[in-house]
Amino acid sequence: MTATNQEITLFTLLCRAVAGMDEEGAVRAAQEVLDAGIDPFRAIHEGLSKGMEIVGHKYETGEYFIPQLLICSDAVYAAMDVLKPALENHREVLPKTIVIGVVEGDTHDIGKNIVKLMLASAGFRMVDLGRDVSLPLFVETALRENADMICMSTLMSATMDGMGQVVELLESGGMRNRFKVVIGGGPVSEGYARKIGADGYARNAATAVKLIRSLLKTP
Amino acid sequence: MAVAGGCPDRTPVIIPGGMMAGTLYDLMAHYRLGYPDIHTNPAAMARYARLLQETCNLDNYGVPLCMTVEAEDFGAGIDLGNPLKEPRVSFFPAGAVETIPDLTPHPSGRHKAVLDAIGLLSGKDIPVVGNIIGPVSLLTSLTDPMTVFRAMEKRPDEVSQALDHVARHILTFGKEQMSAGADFLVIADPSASGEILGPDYFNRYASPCLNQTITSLKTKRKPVILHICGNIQTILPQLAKMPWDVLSVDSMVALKKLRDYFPDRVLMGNLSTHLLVSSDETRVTASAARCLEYTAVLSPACGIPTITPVANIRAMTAASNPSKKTGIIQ
Repeated sequence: MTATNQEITLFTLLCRAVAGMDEEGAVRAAQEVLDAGIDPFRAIHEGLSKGMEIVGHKYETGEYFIPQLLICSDAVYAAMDVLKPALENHREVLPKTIVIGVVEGDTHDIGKNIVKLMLASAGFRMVDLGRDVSLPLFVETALRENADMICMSTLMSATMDGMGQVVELLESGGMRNRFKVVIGGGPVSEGYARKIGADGYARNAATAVKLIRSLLKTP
Repeated sequence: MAVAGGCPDRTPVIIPGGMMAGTLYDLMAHYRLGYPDIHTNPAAMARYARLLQETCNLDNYGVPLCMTVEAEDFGAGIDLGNPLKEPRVSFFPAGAVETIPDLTPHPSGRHKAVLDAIGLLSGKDIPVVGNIIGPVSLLTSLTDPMTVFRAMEKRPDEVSQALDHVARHILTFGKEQMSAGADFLVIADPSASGEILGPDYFNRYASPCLNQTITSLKTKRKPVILHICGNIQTILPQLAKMPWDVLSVDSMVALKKLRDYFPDRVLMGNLSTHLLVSSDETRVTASAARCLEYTAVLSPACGIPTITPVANIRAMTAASNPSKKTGIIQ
């Protein structure tokens, strides 16, 4: 689809507002998208998500840290709130659902919260189970929410084995192929993800978005 | 003052307490220690500190055994956990950063228990290490950390005021611990990690209050150890300006490079706690030996998981070779 000049201008404004921590600017541009009758989904994908990609890059290269990430993702949320009523008319396009939580025994949830915000900003529907989450609850919630993926994190080596147990629960229930599983957190690694049979490991929030987009085949 | 302890002829090996407490499940179970008494009762707290020192041949006693005492003083709800799960904040007393200056700290029973435990431990040959939480970490214990991090960008004055407010109480608790007999004091600020805040926010928020707190603590003429979690590469210039006596760092920090950056200052660390909990004595010994090439105080790099085998801690202390004593705080 070829974008009009007005679309390009507004998508660029959305992108720059998000990457520049400008919540008011993002809200203003989102309103202009609606006023001009532009498809809100394209505004999300070509404006807000592009902005968050830049934010992810700035985070990876050490230009942005946690406070900046939060403010940028707040700008996305604020713009999404403006676009929401128009999205209601596009119910046929459902976002992919991800269940996320910190595994049982661990209460460190800053990393998990950042990943959740980045994924929500990238357009995924997030079901957040919080921290110290009982292992069966990951599976029960994924089933109930008809989720596409389970994301687990831990900062403690003492609790990382819980991730493998969730994969085992999925296997013993004959539903391993129904959900993708991605893990993250200080003590875990790519090798550990392979060892427990997870689909992927993300080193940080920015790589989580890239990895999960590719695993769930979303643009 | 020199670090003397279980084995004065070697590079000292310590488990400081506080954030880096070393509450080992096996040790508590073996001696049938009551829980949560080690966090609430001065005699039980001191007994655990002694047991840990004796069992693992450490060069220090360390209390408190958690990092939630100051938050409780400010009205935070604390879940004391169980022998496998360390105490943590379960309820934030403030809904926003700007209401934190309205919270008046009242020394809790556990606050007094820490001071009494230090009194029970002090006066022996083994130095007592007291522990306080850093200001940014205390702020993130009193209100949702996400709220604090957002406010750093949006309401800088309120964050600075809240930090000043909590730092005053931290300073008081630290000085009380020193007066009660603590020979060293560790200030650990995991939320002020360079990886979380980055250099700008660290410079704007963490640096001034850490600097002021350490400077004031030093009027008691006892060494102050600063522990910062995570990668500190981006905040090295700020850390260089602070008057800490010892800098304790996480396991991903290369001690060799750090010693090049701080050639005349004392470094502490940084044995991986992941290695300590999940590996065996041979690998712990090898890794500790690598740390000993560059560190003046050997210690775990971060909080020690409760299920860490006692044998691995003993392997860490045994690795400190009597023939390779290095210079330490004079």
